[in-house]
Amino acid sequence: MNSILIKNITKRYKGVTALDNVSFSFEYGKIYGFLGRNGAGKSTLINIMANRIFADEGEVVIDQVSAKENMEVHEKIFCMSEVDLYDTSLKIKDQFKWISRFYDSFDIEKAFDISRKFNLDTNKRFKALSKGYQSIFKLTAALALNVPYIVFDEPVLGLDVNHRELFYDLLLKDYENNERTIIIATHLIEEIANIIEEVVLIDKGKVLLQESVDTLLGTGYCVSGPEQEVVSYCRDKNVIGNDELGNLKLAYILGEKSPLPHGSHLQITAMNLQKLFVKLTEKGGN
Amino acid sequence: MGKLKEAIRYECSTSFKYIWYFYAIQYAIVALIYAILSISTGSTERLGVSCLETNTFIYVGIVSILGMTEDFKMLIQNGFMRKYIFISTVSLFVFMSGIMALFDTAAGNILRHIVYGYTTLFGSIYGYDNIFISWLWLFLLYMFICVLLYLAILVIYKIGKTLSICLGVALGGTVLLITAVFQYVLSNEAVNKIIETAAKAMGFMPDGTIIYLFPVLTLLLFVVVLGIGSYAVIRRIELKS
Amino acid sequence: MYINPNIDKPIFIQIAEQLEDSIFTGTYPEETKIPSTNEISVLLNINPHTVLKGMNMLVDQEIIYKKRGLGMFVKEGAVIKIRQKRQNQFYDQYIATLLEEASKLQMSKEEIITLIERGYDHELNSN
Repeated sequence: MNSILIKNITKRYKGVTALDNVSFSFEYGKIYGFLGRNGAGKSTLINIMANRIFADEGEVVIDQVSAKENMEVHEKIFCMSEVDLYDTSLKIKDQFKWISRFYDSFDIEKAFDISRKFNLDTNKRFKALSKGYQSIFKLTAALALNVPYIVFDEPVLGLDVNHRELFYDLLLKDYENNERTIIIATHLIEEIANIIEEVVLIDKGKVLLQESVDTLLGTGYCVSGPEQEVVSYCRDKNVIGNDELGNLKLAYILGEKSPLPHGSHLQITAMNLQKLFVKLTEKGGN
Repeated sequence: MGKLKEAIRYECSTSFKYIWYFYAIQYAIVALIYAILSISTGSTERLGVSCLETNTFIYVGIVSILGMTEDFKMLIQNGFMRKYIFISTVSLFVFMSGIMALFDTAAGNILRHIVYGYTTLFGSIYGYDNIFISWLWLFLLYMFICVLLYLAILVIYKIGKTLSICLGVALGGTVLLITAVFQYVLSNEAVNKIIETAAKAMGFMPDGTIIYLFPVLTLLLFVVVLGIGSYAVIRRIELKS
Repeated sequence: MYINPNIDKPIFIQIAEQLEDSIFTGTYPEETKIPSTNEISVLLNINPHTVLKGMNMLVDQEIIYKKRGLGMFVKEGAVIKIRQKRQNQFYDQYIATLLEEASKLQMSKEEIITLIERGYDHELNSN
């Protein structure tokens, strides 16, 4: 089966373990939300996948081929990164020209088409663009590249609401016509909650969970009511966090719901992805 | 292999026009000096400048440093592996050094006939007998500067600022130590022997003849050694964020 | 169409329900095409697999069907089928919750029946 396989990756920086024996996979054909707090290790892992840095241990395997220093994965994966690596003195149209020479799968017509939709001036040099438009250029380049695995690292940073909406529209349209793996690393969870199919949550260099959004939302819920009742309801459950509002206690639970006892004053409500994320990453302290 | 060709093409074609900007500015300045001199002294005989090739040293040096910082980023963003980045950067060095050595050799030999007292770098050392060797020597000299600075910047990037400064201090110390060894430890005979070998490496034979092949081979050896060193470092270079 | 991410109901079920409602109220008549997964996915910014999952629920219930190469169409008799289904669910969805709330409010059976009758009277008067 085609996938990006992350195999026992460990990466240390001067005594700090950024990634600690991380293993999981991104399967072909899904849209992933790659979530984690700042410094959780998201960018480190993306950089290893893109051969920008090296793992101390372990390897990344893309469609059965090692991703480290290997041109065989060149047409397989592309990472739109948060940091600007492009030649800043090149005009946008020339950037497109070079990308189309570097990648067989780059659709330059599509790149210009997307630029028009975003009102991106392709005659400007990269460095003359505003921060938002620099992001738009990077998104455009990534969207016009027909590689099977595409990674977006904080894609909508600095984009206004209309442009963000346009980006998600283009992404979904593209995905519909041409199924591939899209990995979105972001803090803006609510925005992508309905777009993604599966979540990989990483915290302090470890994978906290990998789950389909449906299952996750199906198993995460919040129970609220008088403290005593909440505590007794939660006794045999996996509680990932608590909140209090005076006498009202809220408990966030992951797992199967059991029916409320007769005459109970408890209320069960849904927990959205963002809440789930916050509670899960809060649990480990910090 | 097609991708490697495109990476080389990127490296060379994005640097090509700057070569001519550089020459345009350089010769504009030369012309200005010439004009000022001729107005103020009334004589057009002496230009007062020689060996314009040394300016090219600075230019190729800057390009080789940028080759690391800028082009590495651009090519790694576009999914190239380090081996390809290294080959394309070295190709840029060959391309740039080749063209600039050709231009400088030609310009130097023309200037020599127009401007009284002008000498080319090669000519001032070896004379003007062999234009081809003059070009080849200059080409290798530029290459040497490129790979030397490329290796230096790679090492600095790899080991970081603090360690690089320590390394620089250590290198300075070594130079002092070697000088001391020459002065106080080695016998006069040994020192003479070493100087003689160095002179031979530069092509000057004890009998007063000049063998052009020797300096060419010496430079080539340096370029290859530094190149291998650069490759060993770039293989391990990680992008800094 | 509107998706509420904050209610305790999976997105694909919300999509199925909303499509079903549109079919029931005649927005998409029988034997006409309903919007494609792509259109819905882009409009609501929802993963197309989720939309498809919702549509497949309606396919399983024989409310819509797939015309090869053309898209999803409303099946003949869909409206009757939906009405029947909703009638079956009427007890669970409305009566059961009604009785639960009534017991919390300590209302008797007679009081509720009176209220229902009042509702009918009010409805008749207003018409």
